[in-house]
Amino acid sequence: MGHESFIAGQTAALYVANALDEGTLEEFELHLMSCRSCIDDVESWRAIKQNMPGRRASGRLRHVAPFMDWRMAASLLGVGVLGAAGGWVGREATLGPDVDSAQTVVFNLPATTRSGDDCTVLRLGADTRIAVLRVPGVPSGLVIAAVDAEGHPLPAGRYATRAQPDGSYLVRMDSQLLVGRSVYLQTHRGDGAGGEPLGCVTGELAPQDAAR
Amino acid sequence: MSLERDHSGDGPLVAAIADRTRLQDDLYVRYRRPLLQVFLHRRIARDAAEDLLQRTFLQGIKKIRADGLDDPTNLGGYLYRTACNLAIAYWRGELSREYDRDEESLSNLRDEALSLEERLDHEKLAECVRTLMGHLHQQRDREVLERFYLREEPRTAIRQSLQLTELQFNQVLWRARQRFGDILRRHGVAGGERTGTVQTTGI
Repeated sequence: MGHESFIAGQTAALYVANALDEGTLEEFELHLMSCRSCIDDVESWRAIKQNMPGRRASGRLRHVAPFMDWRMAASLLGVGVLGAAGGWVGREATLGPDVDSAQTVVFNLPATTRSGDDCTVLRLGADTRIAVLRVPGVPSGLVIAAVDAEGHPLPAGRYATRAQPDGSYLVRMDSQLLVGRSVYLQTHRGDGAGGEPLGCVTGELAPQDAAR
Repeated sequence: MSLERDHSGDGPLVAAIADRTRLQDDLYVRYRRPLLQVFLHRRIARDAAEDLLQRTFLQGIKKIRADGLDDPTNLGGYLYRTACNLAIAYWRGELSREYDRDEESLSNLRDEALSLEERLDHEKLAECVRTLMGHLHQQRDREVLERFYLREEPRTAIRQSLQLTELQFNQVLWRARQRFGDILRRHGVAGGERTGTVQTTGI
């Protein structure tokens, strides 16, 4: 593909809208390195996208109930899924207790409760150290990243993700990362490109624990 | 007329970087804006993208001075790959906070190296976009932009529901881009040049 084809196909507009396939994306980005007018186009489209009237930041809070212990989680999510997860959480959890412990809480975040507009509140106990989120319906080829309010990835040592055979993802986080702050989950192809925002979660101490 | 620029200027630029002459400033003028877009496209926030830009340039400069490039005429390709790799490392949380900054290598940025968002303040830019949306004559054009960029719907779904051919869809985008270029020029911003043509009759 040459410059004229990129112009005729409005490739800059599609690029900003994340509508290019992987091959065209790379070809176009390499072309950007030497095409000033294409950069003008990309910057203009990005300005339009980011300043489109109606674009708003997320802010609302929505509460979901956790599965308070391992047995309850297994009964609701299926032994197959969390049976595999239990090994991962238990064996590899260098940052906290075994999943069997009361210090671990498990949440399910199905697509119907996820939204870019809402921040889902996860109720945590005072002794909770690990929160495990199950995020179903993640398209193959994408991974999940957790980022802070400024969009920076959380430190790799503070959370971990793992794909499940059923297409869901498990995200294991240090509960301290969640209390009082918003953590945004998003999918991407491994380098930040592609995918979509999955929504936001935040931790809140259960009232009886907060009063202690 | 093609506005495309080839890489033939990369050879002297690579030599200038190796020799530490003033021409090396052209490195930033030439590649800062495209590399910034590469990072922004990977959902890297602007301040982090700035940091990764500096790392990209420093890595390129060190490589040129230490080993040289296999193909000095393709400096852009080398910087692009470096930027992509840094973006992956960033998302994996593999980048250390501190790195070997070489202040001597980093120049003050000239205007040509600044992106549109850096040349026009946020309020002005938002006003330009509001003006654009208000000046689109057809409701359909507004709907296309809103669904494509605000609601991020796939273009095939937008085309099907509005019964637009691919050409018609592209013409909507082309008209919006031309209008936005006019608005930017009225605000004294260069970079709104008309690029290419799209048939606009028969829509």
